[in-house]
Amino acid sequence: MERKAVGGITFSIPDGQFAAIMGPSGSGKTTLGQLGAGLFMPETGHVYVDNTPTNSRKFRSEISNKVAYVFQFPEHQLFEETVFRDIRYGLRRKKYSELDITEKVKDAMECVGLSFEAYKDRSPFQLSGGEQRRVALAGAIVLEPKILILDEPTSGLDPLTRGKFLALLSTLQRTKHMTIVCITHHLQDALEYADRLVILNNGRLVYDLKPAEIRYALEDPAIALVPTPLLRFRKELEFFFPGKIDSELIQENKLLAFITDRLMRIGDEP
Amino acid sequence: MSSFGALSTLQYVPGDSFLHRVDPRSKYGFVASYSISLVSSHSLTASLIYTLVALFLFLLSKLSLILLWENLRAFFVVILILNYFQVALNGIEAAAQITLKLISFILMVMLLLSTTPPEKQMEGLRKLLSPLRRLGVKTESCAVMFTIAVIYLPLLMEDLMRMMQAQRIRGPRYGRWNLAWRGRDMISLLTPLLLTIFRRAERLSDAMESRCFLPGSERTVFYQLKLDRRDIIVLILALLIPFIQFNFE
Repeated sequence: MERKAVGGITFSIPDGQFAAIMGPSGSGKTTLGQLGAGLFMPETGHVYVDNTPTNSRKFRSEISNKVAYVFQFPEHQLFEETVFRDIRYGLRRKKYSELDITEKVKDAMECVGLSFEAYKDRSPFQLSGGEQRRVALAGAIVLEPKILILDEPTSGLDPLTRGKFLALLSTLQRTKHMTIVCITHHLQDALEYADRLVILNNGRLVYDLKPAEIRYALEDPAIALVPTPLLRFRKELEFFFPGKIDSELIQENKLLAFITDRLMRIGDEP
Repeated sequence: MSSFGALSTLQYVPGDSFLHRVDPRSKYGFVASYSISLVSSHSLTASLIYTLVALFLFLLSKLSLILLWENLRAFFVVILILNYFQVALNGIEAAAQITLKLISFILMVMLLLSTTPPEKQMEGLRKLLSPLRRLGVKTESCAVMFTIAVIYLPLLMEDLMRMMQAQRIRGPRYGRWNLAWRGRDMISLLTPLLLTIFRRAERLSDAMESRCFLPGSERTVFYQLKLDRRDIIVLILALLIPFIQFNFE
């Protein structure tokens, strides 16, 4: 039985943006990500990556030079005997010298927080879920792509590792000016790290908004987005301080700064 | 946008055609009789008739032509290699015969599995094998193993496809005909694929045991199979096929 996974979607992601793709299960998030990576070809319509159409087979190499894709389950992405061999897989295809390969693999491993000496000879299949994800990410960023697409990269990770992983993505975006497209179910993570939220429902794009505009999507009963504790708290604050709550106040740090500021003012009052 | 190619053969396609309604035991009987007669036929005319019968049944099943194309396309290389040897050793007629036999057999297996839900396949097989229980054969376990294999093969194919996609996205391909690199890439997928198979098997056995599954024990079924007039006709046809062929040849 075949059904249309996505349709009628038109949007573009500028260079260096961190876009979060959200939506309920089965809404077409993964398919959209795979279309962007050139893993699927659309039956109708066009997908352009840096002005290169993904529809044509002859541009496949060009697309794979520009886009890296990290799968939802790292076990689908790791296939070599050692961590070193797995990360260097793409580089060997690009015919780099062995010296360059070692250097780049080392850099990529250190970038994702894996010690080169400690991990290079280990089997990727014997690592923990978090470590496997780091190896998969290293295998993707070692190719120095312009665009990094991640399919639910933090599912199954403990909160501490999840935070570290997302901070790592944010660092990659800033330092390497990489465009990051992250498919996620975690609204708070998206609000914390993304510059833009793309929300899908039933294979269609229903909202394309800035994190500060999330209330529009939350007010829509058709979208199964549950407000995070921080957003609920923000709503309470809006009740007590009408018109004084900034719409950008959706991130933990900003909220803490706001509360601290308020408390300081109360403390200063005679 | 994605397809499992040859593995589509093993997936049930819901429908309400005549073939969908036939009892699985009758289908097994017909396919077994058809296959034996097909293999033992020696003339090109007989092979052609078998192919036409299979095509007629395909039309009866109301399955999509894309499914048929996907299945035959997957076996194209095998048919081509066999044809090469047949033409070289026994001539063009033998090659045509083997091609028709292969297409008919693939089509028949596809029809059997695409028109029968896995639970009915299992129940049908269990009932057919039940006389062997008296000989000490664990028929229940055989039926469960067969069904699990049929259900899980597409999932394994999906895993394999994901791994191949992961390879593809991580660097340019060396061309479709660079067989050495393609072979090396395929071999490197064996370890993760085997690991996935064992992990899935372990998880499945844990899940079955947690639901009190006891290997070999007698089980009740949700779908009660009942032979009606239609199924009897199919069984009679199954019995007639070898006789008709024997008389003609």
